[in-house]
Amino acid sequence: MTSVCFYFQVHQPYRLKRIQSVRPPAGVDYWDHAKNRAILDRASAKCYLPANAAIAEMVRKSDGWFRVAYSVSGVFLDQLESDRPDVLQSFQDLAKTGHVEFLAETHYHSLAGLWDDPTEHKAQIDEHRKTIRRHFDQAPTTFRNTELIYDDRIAATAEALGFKAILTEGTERILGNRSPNRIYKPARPESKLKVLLKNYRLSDDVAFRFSTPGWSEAPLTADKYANLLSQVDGDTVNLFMDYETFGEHQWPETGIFEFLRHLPGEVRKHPHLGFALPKEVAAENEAVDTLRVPQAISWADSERDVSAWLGNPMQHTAFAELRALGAPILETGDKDLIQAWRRLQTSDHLYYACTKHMGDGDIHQYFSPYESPYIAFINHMNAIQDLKAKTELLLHA
Amino acid sequence: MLGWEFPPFMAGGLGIHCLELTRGLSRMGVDIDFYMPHMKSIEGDLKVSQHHDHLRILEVEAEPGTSPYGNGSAHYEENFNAAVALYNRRLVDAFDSHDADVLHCHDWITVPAALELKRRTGLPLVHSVHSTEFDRSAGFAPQHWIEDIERQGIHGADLVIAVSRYTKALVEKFYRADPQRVRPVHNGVDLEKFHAVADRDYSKHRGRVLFLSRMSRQKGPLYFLEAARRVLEKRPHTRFVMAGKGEMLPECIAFAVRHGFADRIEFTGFVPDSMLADIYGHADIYVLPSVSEPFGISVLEAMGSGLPTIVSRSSGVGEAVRHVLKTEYWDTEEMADMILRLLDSRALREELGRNGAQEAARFTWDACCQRTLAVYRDAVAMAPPPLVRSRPAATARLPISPPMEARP
Repeated sequence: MTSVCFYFQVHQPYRLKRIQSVRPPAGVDYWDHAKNRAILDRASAKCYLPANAAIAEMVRKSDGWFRVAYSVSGVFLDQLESDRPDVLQSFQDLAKTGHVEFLAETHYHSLAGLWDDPTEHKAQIDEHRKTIRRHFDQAPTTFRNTELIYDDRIAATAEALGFKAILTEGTERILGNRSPNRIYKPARPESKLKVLLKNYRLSDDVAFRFSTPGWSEAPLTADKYANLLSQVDGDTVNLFMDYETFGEHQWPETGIFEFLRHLPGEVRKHPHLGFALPKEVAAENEAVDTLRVPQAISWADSERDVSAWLGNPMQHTAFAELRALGAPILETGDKDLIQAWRRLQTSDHLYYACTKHMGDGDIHQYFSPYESPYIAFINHMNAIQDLKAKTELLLHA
Repeated sequence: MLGWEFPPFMAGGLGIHCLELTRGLSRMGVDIDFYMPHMKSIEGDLKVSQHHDHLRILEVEAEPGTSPYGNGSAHYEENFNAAVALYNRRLVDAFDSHDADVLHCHDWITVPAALELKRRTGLPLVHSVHSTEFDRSAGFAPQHWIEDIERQGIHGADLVIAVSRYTKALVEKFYRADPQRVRPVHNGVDLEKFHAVADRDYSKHRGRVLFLSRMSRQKGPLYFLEAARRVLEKRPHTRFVMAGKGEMLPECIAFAVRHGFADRIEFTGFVPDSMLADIYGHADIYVLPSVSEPFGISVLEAMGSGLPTIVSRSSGVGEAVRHVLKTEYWDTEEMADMILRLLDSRALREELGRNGAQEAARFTWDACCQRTLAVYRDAVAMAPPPLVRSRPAATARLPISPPMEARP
């Protein structure tokens, strides 16, 4: 029996408005509300609403045999709550089917997990847990760190917070020649945490290669994909991808929704396959081996490390500034300032300042609202510095 | 090839361009006759050098050289216009087509002769536009008779080479050039002399912001000063360097005095070639706030020197590079913000500086020459066979009256 385990990542950052140090903003409302709303509306129309409807119908029609998990960032849910309650409702409808698992992550989709002191990381996970409970009436037992960033410390933090399972990338860097289709545990002897690894080949077949002309498997149909899944040797095949794959990254014209709708029926033709949620995969399978991950991995780029966010000195500077701002800003006790600080931690702000592979029509620029990574850095830093100035003003008033 | 200047006789980038172009094309097997005015040097007996094989330089007797590209306040004076007219007339007389396949002329100063030679010989004409009257006047009181010549050149040539897509768009907009016949070809740059200063320590900086350009309306020096004023409000210890001369220098000095920061700004005057690397080496940020810049080789030189660079969006080089900061020339708030952030952040200076140096190195003259050669080939392919192969009669007048005579 091999489980087919889907988890979809749903996230939109609070993008910044243009902030200039020569004319500092009056308050800490740094966000480009019009742009964020426009992107939210577009993604809702193209992806969230049609995909949620399709998934909900598939779950109901199969009586819960088809089941999926979501990790929805807190900043995304906050935006839905204020701007698109109808979309929030459609996610809540999914929760009500009883066969959809909502994972825990950091509320702010941040890189706080990479700081030496885990306090802030824990605070953000805790806030997210409360948000998930409030919106979906679920208490997550599976943790997914931002961008599947994982190392031994992050695993320890998750376990300390009571999670039973954690997700990350099934990269050869940690697996060697072992299979991503088994369950593992951290190398600490006392650890009981289950580590679920993304099968990146089969995941990326859908997320990235689905509509690639000239790809050997094109066009990827549901029966062909079910066949590929059936050939997997292991306990589980973990298919982790951005939810925006459906309708936004892969346009409806590519047939991505038809692919999705036909998938349960095609998978059912293989009796040894069955859909499962991350918490079920973790509960039903024993770890076959341990993983030692001293250096952080992620699901980003071909490097599968954290260089997409912390690959150049600009990113290191912004990251260090954010961390240094932590103690004074928490000391102010000012909720608005603290919230602004945490929203500035959203990993996207650092991702936009990535200078890897510039000029190759790279994926970083595709997602960036900025003209260049340099402007991204300038704007992010201007916001951080403004927040710092306001914090100091408040502390020394 | 019909030119105006060639090393060592030159005042602007055109001389360098012609040298690099003829050198590169020679290496690709092109034989070139290069026509230019005979220059008498005030420094004694300077001779124009041949520089390389496959190039013959033919000096046409004309008035002592005056430059179209700004010898201080002297440019665009009437003796200059007369010199251009005389040169064009004598060029037509002196021209010998030999076995030429294509004519190539540079900017409006050689257009009248080029059009007449095309008429007489039937040779296909390639016309390079390095700048337009719109650029030079920054859209402020352009000289219409020059615009007329530029229009005639652009419409009379078989193919037009624009130094950038920016310039291509300009000639299409202002001169209604046929987009099919205008090819953008970026300049190259020789960065060797800047290598020594490119390897810099970004952790130290003196807070020096550099403007290095002719001080004319086109180059936007007052926008630089307006940005400086804003920067100094936040960071009073910043230093600004304005290198170059030009008719706006008095206005610039007056601005700094009026706003009380004359002590924070250094006017160096004209910078000779030999001092360029030094000037870049001692700066921390380079700004080119041009109102209209056909290309902007100085941006590549600054980048090649490892300098983080801010460049106006209305520039040719801006469209071609990614590792710079771009702003509208009039948006001095944005310019000031960029300068402030650069001064504050070593990481930003270093990332821009290092990546910029690598990017600038990609602008080779070889690439420029290859694209130019491709334009030659297309021009030859699309032109009817030449009518005349021998030396033309030396009697005809130029189709364009010299401006001197046209004026009352």
